[in-house]
Amino acid sequence: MAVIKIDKLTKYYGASRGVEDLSLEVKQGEIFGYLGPNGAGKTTTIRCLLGLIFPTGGKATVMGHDIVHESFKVRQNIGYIPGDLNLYPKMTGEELLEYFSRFRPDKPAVLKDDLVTRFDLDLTRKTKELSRGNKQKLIIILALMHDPDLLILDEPTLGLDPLMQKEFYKVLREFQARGKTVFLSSHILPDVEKTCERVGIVKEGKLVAIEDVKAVETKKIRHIEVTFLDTVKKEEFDIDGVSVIQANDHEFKLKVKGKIDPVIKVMAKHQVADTIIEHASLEEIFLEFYGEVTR
Amino acid sequence: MNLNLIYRDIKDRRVSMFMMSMSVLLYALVIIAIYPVFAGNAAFAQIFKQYPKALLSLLAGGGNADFFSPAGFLSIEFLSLWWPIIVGAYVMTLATAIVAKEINDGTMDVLLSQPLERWKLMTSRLAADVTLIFALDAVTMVGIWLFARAYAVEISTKGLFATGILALSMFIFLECLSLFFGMIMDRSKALITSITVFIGSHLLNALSDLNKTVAKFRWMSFFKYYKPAAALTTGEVPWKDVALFLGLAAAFAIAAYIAFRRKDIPAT
Repeated sequence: MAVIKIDKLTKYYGASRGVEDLSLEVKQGEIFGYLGPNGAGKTTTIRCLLGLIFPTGGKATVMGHDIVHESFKVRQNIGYIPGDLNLYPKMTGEELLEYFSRFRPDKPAVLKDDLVTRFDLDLTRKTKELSRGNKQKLIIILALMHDPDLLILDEPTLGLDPLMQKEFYKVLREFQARGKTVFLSSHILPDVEKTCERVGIVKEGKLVAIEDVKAVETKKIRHIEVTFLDTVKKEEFDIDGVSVIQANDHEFKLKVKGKIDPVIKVMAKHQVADTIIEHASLEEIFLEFYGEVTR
Repeated sequence: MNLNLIYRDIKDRRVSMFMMSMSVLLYALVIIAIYPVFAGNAAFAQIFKQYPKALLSLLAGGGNADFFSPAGFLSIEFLSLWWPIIVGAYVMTLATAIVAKEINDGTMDVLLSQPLERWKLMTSRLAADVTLIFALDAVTMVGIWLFARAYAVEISTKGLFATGILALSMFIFLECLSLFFGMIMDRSKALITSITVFIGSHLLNALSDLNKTVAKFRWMSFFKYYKPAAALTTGEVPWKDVALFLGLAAAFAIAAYIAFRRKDIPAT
């Protein structure tokens, strides 16, 4: 059963494009990644699903309810983490959670205490006094505490430290294990890889592909800078998917598409003085693999 | 209606409401306390006779100004202009906070992602504001009643009741007008537009006594229908004016909802 069904969704802000003819389905119990560079239309899609903005064309249903005409029913069973983090500054964390829980009298905040413990958050402080990371924890608890059937998450790990990110992904997998569905929007590929099975890739307002996350893995690009103590021949890096950007006898700059293992094996044959390995930006990956979107 | 929203809004505004009530009461106390001194001094009467008609009309908000009756003095010095300005500014601030402030602050996203219908959001907040306006109106009238008795100034209870009802209806109209502006523009523009309408309306009403061409447009000024001196003196509620204010308030509230129903909430 499709929990989210989007059919040719189009949203224009005046003359500027939000999303165009976007169609996709998210199945019950899956963690679906929604990946795209900044400005691609991810947030526009999410805001349409939540009834915060209204589509210019097309239609969509969430849990069988039309997003425009039955928006109230849609929101009854959703947990939402917005990309822009704005909270009521004068409320304490406890007051904020209490305030919002009263909008769902039939859905008690059954997970609140557990989540507060796991994310180690002090609820007695006013939200204006919280750091970016702690605000993010608060909004995560707010979205998840009533154990919704669908989570719609827009860049949910922004500001979280690696330990908390790990805990967050663990919580998501627990949700999935209970049959819940997660729609996770991000512009960070590794974030999506950690949790999702399928990934919708959106660029310039259009869905360019829906891929298995393993397929996305093969499209990973890494930049490697390596300094050797001994002399290394350029030809040693004649490996499929590897381009030598810059080279001398000791220093190499490489661009690696797909698996990194063959490069590591070559490097391991020599004495390595230093190395830096960086993931390419999503924009670069998109340019490499998905090219320009034809209009 | 959503009681959670109403309770929260009133709670959030309790400090500003208290400060506003104290300011208004203090102002009312000063005006009532100086009336016996003013009324009993012949020199003041001479001075006021020399005042240009335009100035008197401006202070009285149009119409004939009787500075020397308790009702006239209270009306000119307090209820016709300064009190509506103080309370009106507060009302406009409240009204534009209903939706426009939440959008500006970026908190509307989380609020509207809850199972909360837009009409409930708007009407609940409107109800909270009307409760506050009623309280401020009532505090003012009760305060005047008490101070008038303390200083032996003759202000009738019926007159205060009638003025309170008329003022309440005008402030509810102002609330709905500003709410409508807040739905179709951002908060600062909505506030500026509301203030412009308020000042323009007062000037139009005041200048109508002095210029026949301007007088043709007096019907457009909502101050034409707000005559506290008459209500205070006669003790009769001007129901036609009250109905007009409430009718206009309802029209602007409906227009505001129509604008809000399909309003895109912009990302911050």
